[in-house]
Amino acid sequence: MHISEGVLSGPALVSGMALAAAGTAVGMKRLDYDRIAHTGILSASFFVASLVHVPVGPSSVHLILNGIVGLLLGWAAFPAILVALLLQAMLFQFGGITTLGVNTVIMALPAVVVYHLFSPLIRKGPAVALGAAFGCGALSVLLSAAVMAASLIFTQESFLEVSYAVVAANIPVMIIEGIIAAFCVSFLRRVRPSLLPGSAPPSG
Amino acid sequence: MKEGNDMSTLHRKIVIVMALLLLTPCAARAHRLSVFAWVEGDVAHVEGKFSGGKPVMGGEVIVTDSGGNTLITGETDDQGTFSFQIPRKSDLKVVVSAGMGHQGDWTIRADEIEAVSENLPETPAETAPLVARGAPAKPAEASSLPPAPKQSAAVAPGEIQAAVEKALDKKLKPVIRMLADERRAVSATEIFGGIGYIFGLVGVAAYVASRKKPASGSMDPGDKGPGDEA
Repeated sequence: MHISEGVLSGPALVSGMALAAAGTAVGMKRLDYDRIAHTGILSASFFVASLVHVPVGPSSVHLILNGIVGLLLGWAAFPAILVALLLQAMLFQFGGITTLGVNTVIMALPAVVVYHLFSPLIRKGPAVALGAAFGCGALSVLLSAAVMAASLIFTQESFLEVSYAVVAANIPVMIIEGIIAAFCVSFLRRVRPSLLPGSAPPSG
Repeated sequence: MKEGNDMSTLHRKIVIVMALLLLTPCAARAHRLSVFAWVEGDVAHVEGKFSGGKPVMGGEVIVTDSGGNTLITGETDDQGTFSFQIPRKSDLKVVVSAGMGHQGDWTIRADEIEAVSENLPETPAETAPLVARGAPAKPAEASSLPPAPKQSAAVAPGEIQAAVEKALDKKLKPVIRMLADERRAVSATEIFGGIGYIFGLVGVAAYVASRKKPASGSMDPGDKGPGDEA
């Protein structure tokens, strides 16, 4: 779900960069000392996740993990995803430098949305938490597809057609991501619950 | 308040690091759908692949000349390939887009194009290799048969050149294809390099953050669990 260079028009690229910069600024402001390491580890996971390809129909999709990144980081997902996408663009030629802003918004905005929607539920009972984690993984991919289709409106392609195609291509990813998110959350609940949202950060 | 100021200087430094990274030259040709096009005689072949090696099926192909005029449009087949007759000797930009924001391009430079589709006679090039190969291999036979030298003399130098180029195209095609595949593969070096970059940034951020707030930083080790070192 990376938009390549040369696809989008100038205004779409610039507004993407502005939104990404704003989100990253908020994320940096909320990133305290004790969460730097978490942010880096999740950024690295996100960076590697897109190498896991899932062939679907005429296209190929890959794992995104932006749901779990958002759930564990909140607004800090923006800088984490920005750095990971920058490195993907430089090293793997995924996406591109001019589209970095747009791609960051596509991945990180849904991450922040699912954080606000699902983080209160993660501390509830095991069944609720699992359901919330699955929803978190799946919904973030769906929202990413919607943001991506929205950013493609400004080019020649029609919104409904593109969003249908993007969503259809990513339905398997939604399911896979949901399962992975549920697995991660159930694991963290047992092993390291302090990483999950809702635990009071140590900084006063 | 003080903590907020410290963090903002940290952020500024991280932004500077990221801005420096943006300026590195390798960033210029970044795309995920890679396109490769090569010339064979008067025909150009285009191949589009996703980074996983999967061919771009039914991708939209647009060929433009150096002036930006659209010359040819088409669609890739099941193997992700598309071939077209070269209409004119000019830099040809081949853009393949697969929808959903995936797009890649490749430029065939004018000096790679040796023939334009109308001018090249196909048949002499087909027969020429046989004559050219036969003449040096069996000189004795050639002298015993008087008509043979005449036949090879009738082959114009231009035709021999065309034949050699065609044969070379055929031999080099797998090599070129291999090089193109290599270009789009993701190597382990790059993966670990990227992870290293991220951990390096974490290190820079942690160092700057710890240096900027020594008072609260000295309290921190008590708050952290032992697992934080991992």
